Amino acid sequence: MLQAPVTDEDLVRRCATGDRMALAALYDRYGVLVFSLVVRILGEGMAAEEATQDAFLAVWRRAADYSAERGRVLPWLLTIARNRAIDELRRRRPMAEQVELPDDAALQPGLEEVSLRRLQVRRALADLPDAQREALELAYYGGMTQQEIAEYLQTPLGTIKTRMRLGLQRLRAALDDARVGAPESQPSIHPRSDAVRNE
Amino acid sequence: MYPPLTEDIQEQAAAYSLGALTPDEAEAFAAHLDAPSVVAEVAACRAAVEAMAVAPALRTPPPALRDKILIAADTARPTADTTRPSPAPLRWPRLMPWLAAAALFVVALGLGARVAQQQATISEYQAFLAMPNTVQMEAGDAAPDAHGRFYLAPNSRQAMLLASDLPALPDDKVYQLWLVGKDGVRENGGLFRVDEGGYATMIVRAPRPLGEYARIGVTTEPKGGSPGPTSGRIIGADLSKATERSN
Repeated sequence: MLQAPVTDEDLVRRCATGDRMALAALYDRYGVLVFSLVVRILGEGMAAEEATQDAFLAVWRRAADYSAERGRVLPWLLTIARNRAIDELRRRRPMAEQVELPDDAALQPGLEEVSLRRLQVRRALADLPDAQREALELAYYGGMTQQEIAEYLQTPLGTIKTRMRLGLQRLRAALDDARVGAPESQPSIHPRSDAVRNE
Repeated sequence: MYPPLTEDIQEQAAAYSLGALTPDEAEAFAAHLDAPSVVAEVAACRAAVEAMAVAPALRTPPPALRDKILIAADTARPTADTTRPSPAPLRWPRLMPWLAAAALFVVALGLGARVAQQQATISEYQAFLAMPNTVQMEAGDAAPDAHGRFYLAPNSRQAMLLASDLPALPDDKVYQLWLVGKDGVRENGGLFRVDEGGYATMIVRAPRPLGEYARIGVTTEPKGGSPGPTSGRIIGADLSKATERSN
């Protein structure tokens, strides 16, 4: 049975009408990516499953509010998942209150580019100087403020600020280069098909 | 007209995009967001930060998670009143289209034999979602990473156990749930195994209403189970600590 390609936006619109098969389809596309992100933040276990569930249910509940101008579906979903996971992390490890990332997502690649994009991002992160990568990871996956990172690493705050700025600039440049350099019709794998327990 | 994009502003934009500012710092920085150069800087930073979301090593979610999400979606419609419904009876009218769709889907895949199991799972999960109380199960000494959650209603004999990160067992062993009465007597709550990820879901059918038990515990027992626990507790909970579910 052949069908026209269904976009993420189509699926969110169908979710808004209460179509659970659309939610199932979104999960089949992105469940692995969402789960992998929250496991990176929380470790494997019940909390990661609950954060994954919360993220998909948030999209389900707010599907009617979704508009394509706000950005693509995947970054929206991943930002919600990251915020839920960081909330849970803070419950476990009480620290200063902190702002959440806004979930009005910017431009991101679509489904067919996700696998290629993953490789580019992993390469770009791996190519950063260790100290810069560490600062970015403690903030994004660790939910720590720059002050907390400075204390945790026993490093002057100014140094942490510089590492974050330089690390992010370098990451931006690497990702821009990768996007420009990538052939248009690069073959890619569905995100689900390269899922493994341990990578 | 607008101040230049100084290194200080760039540092704040990077930290802001990473969520690494305190609320006060973020508010102070947001005052700069009427400058187009700052908006552009934040947008560029944020795109790089969002790319980090797809970087982690891929992990396969437990197979049961998909069903759990779809079933929870049934009770999470935006139109639903936010006040908690009274412990809900099974909502068949809403469930039926889904069941029909699931049945068609399964038959289409040539797996018709699974339909009965699918229905049982869905209706049972539905009942578990209506359970008003939940309690976290803590690890004993034998497996410090193990944990679980138990869903119950004090006046019901049915409950659900979700267990995570339990050690894999050899073929001649099983996990056994114990329901500990207020008199300390342990009753069998059922046997289960975990998948390769250490995860298990079990519907519990207790001899008496759950409100009559003080504690629950899980031990490792020989295949077939034991009349009473013969090993240390893997996970357990004090049922008096069960709390009302918030959503």
